[in-house]
Amino acid sequence: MAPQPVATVPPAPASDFRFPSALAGAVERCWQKAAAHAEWSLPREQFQAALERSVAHRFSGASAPPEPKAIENYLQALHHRDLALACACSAGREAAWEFFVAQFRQDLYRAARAIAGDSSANELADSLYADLYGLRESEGRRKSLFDYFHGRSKLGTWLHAVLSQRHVDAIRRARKTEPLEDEAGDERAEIAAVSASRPATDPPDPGRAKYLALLQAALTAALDSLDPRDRLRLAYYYADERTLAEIGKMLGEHEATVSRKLERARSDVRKRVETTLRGDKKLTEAQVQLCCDYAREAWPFDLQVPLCSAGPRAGNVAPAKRSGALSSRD
Amino acid sequence: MASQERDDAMAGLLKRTLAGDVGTGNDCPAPDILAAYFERSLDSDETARYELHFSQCPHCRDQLAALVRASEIPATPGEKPRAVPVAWLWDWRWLAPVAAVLVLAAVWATRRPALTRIAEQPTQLPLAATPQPPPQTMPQPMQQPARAPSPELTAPASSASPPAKPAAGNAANAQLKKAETSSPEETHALEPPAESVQNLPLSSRNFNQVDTLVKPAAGPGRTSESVTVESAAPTVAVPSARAMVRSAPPVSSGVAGGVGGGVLGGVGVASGSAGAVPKTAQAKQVELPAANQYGVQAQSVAAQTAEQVAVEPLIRTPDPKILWRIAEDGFVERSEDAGATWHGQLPNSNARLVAGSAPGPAICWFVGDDGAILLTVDAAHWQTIRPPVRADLAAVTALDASSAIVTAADGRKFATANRGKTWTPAP
Repeated sequence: MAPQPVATVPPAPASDFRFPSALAGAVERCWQKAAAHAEWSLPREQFQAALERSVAHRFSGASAPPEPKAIENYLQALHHRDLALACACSAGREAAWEFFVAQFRQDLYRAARAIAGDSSANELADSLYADLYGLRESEGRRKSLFDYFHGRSKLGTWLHAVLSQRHVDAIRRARKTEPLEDEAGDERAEIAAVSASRPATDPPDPGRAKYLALLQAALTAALDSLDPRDRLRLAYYYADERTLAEIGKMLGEHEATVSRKLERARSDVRKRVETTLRGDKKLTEAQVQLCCDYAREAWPFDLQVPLCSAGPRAGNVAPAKRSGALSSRD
Repeated sequence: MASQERDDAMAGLLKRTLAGDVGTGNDCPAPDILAAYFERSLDSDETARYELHFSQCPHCRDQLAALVRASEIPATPGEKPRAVPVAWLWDWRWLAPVAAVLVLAAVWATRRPALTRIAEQPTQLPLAATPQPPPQTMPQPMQQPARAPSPELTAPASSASPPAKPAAGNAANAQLKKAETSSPEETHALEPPAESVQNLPLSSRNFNQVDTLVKPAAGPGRTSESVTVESAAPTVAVPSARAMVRSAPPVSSGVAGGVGGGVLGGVGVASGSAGAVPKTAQAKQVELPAANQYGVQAQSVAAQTAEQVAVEPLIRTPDPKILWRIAEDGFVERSEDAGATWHGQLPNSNARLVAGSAPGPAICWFVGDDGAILLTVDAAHWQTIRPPVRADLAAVTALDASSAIVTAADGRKFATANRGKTWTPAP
């Protein structure tokens, strides 16, 4: 598929930010690094406008205007060549678009297959391809997805991120239309399993709900005090049921590091919870044990299963499950 | 088990709590932030802020997982997937030890050829290349070991009365015993190894003698009379004239000089003293043939020994003012004013040192009998180095405080680059 390029395209909407004169040198260096191909016919002013949008996007929401040095450091770290290509493609330059197709099209479709599987890959990639070219128009100009590329990462990584976002959005939209009975059925099965674990002769403990609530509150407070990365690691493992290998790849850590830090985070959380229950809530040791017993009863979890590692599951988005015991990890 | 149960309880509670986070979906970052986070190009504040969001937003976590899958696709069919950059490669916990090992290996590898070259220099051989003077007929002298004697060994005595045995038995003592009871013709064969003679220790107690002996020789004309040997204490070692003449090396610094610039202590001086002492000793102890014969011989020996004196009997360091030398009874001496004054040290009272090498002003290696190896790196404190063999060591060439080559009395050489922790045979 080779969309026909548009001959003339108005420039992308300008941002409110303008480079001060002190940063003229930094902007010039960025232009030099971009080394835009002559056949792209990319005006320097258009590239500068892209830089300004990028800076505005980066420092939006800041309480004070950024310092020139901070802006200069930010500009230095950008991927200038990819930004120039994106600018030229957004402007409809045929030579730039041909360059982009030659460099990225094959990778784009391969990434789509890795993300969504063979069945949905082409549809996913085609929709992105069209949005990149800018078949839609807004306010008299073609609206290209390239306008949202700000050069903070490689163009290829950004394309993968867009594909990932679209795929996950599609999955969640599809999940919302699934019959509710499935989830409800899982919930009923879980409740039945929990009820079966308790002997029928035991009278219900009126303090059970209270203890569980105390425990939950203590745990929430403990999680809030965790380092964000530790909390993210726990979320990957417990909520998403990711393997150590997958977590390591997402966090840029070795599996052994992931395992060690998971153990440490879990131990820290437990200590904080127990300290809160004993200290703030003035529970006795027996009452703390009762809290744990109720928790095990309500939400059983088999820690005896070793933290194993395995390859990633291709083509699947792992939904947040609400199952009971985790017997194994693939 | 109670702890295990609580861990299980906590894990179940974690799963329930974290899985219950559904996120608002309103503040999810755009793909450019996800891509920048994936490439680790966000700053620390941004990273922490977005990781907190990710920990509470399964939607973003799913996108990151999909991003990982996309990044692992091969660039072209058949190629390996592109690896996601992992920070563990730069984990200092394993990187630092590995880097240290590699650095040590590189240093050892670069210095090993230097040690090998040093070992190959013929001049470094203690006495292997030393031309042997023609054997001379000697009366029955009192044969004593050339190396550091104990008081029991140095007392002059008649040939009929062997000297007192040393407290510690060693090869030299055995030779001494044999020499005492052997005929003159056998003396030559039973004399101590030639290389030991050049390591004759100096008396550390008789500074007059020492001062005289260490002075550079004025020339070949220096005679034995200039050496005040008569004032030497009985503890001075008295080797046979034959041994001393044979052992007089043209360049005594061959063994210990090397890179470190060390010179075997007592070489020329020992020869000098040896050249003079026999005359005295012979006069006192031995029934000599015609005095003229021996007088001439003594003078020729003295002439030779005078030359040896000029060769540098001291252990030199890179600093010309700092010198070492071996004294008796395990003593060593160090001078910081080019030999004007000396300060004695006793690294090991049981060691009989014969040779040294000083690659630095404060670094000095000594070797001696029965595998004795002593090292100082600060000219004050001494450490005993594990020897490669339990044999008499005759020479040492040191490169630095960790690297040295020692030569056993039988000619075997051993090198170390880690201060004696391991030794390897050297060519």
